[in-house]
Amino acid sequence: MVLDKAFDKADNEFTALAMNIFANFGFQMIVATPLKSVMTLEPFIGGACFVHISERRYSSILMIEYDSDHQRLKLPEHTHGETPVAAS
Amino acid sequence: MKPATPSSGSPFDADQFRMRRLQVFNWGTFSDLHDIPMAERGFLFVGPSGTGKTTLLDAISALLVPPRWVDFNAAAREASRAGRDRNLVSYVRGAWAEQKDDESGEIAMQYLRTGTAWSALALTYGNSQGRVVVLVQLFWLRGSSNGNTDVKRHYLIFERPFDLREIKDFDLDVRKLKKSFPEAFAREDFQPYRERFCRLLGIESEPQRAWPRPCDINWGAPIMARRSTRPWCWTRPSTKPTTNSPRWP
Repeated sequence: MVLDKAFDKADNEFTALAMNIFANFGFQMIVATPLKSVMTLEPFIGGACFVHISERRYSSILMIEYDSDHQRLKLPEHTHGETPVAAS
Repeated sequence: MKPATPSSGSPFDADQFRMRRLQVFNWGTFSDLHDIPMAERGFLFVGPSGTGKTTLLDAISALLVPPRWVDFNAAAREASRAGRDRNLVSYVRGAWAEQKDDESGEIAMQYLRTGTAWSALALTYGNSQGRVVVLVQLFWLRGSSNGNTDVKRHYLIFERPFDLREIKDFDLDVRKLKKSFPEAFAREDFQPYRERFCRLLGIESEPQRAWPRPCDINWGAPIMARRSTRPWCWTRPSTKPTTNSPRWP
């Protein structure tokens, strides 16, 4: 299942509930989201990438390491769940 | 708040195909080749708005959804009626918006690729039995043509690992392309391509109502969804979406 602007207007509790349901259905979840929902979503995925644009016209992606043991993205501590500094 | 943890390793069928990798070449603001390995457990695209997340999801739409059904940037359009500016031409040409005048907020569309241009997408599926299916599409525009009907399209399916770098010399000559890849399933039309990938991936193909409608749930619109054999869609939540359960048609 592919979700864009995922859970923009949902709270964390609802987001987690919905993701649990989808996971139990056996869906592979492909989700695009701004940074605010990352902490809620990261237990339900196995990898992620950061999408970046420069000069409003050159997009690029940056793979984010995933810690399967803790089901967390390996983001620098100070950026976790908040707006990151430029990731390039 | 501590989020609920997913039930441990929700088992999925050994023969269920999952996305493993997305490659885009000259697609929207993604110039040249971008290679995204996708975790079979699930994958997250994060980043501020306007960076290209929807562009990547629309690549998946273009690969899977019949051209007459495809609804680029569906999620934004549901919310605001914006996003109608996205189409195959804007993706092949690499449209981006330049803020011309800060006071008026006037926006001028610019293109990264003028003249004859081509784009390519590849989506790799795999199952845990080691089977691989790669869906590939090529798009091109000749000269300065800019109409949606001017976009030429070619559909390929590989049953082996395939890397878009293998077609980096594509010169819009489809016959030559077919010769280079005799093992590939190659077609000019979406329909036979779809029938083929539906069969390979174990998706039931129902021409009459083959694809679920874009979702109306206000917490994000699944642009397509498939599992095992039943097509499905979500009913519009009448009260709270949490109380809603999927309706199996």
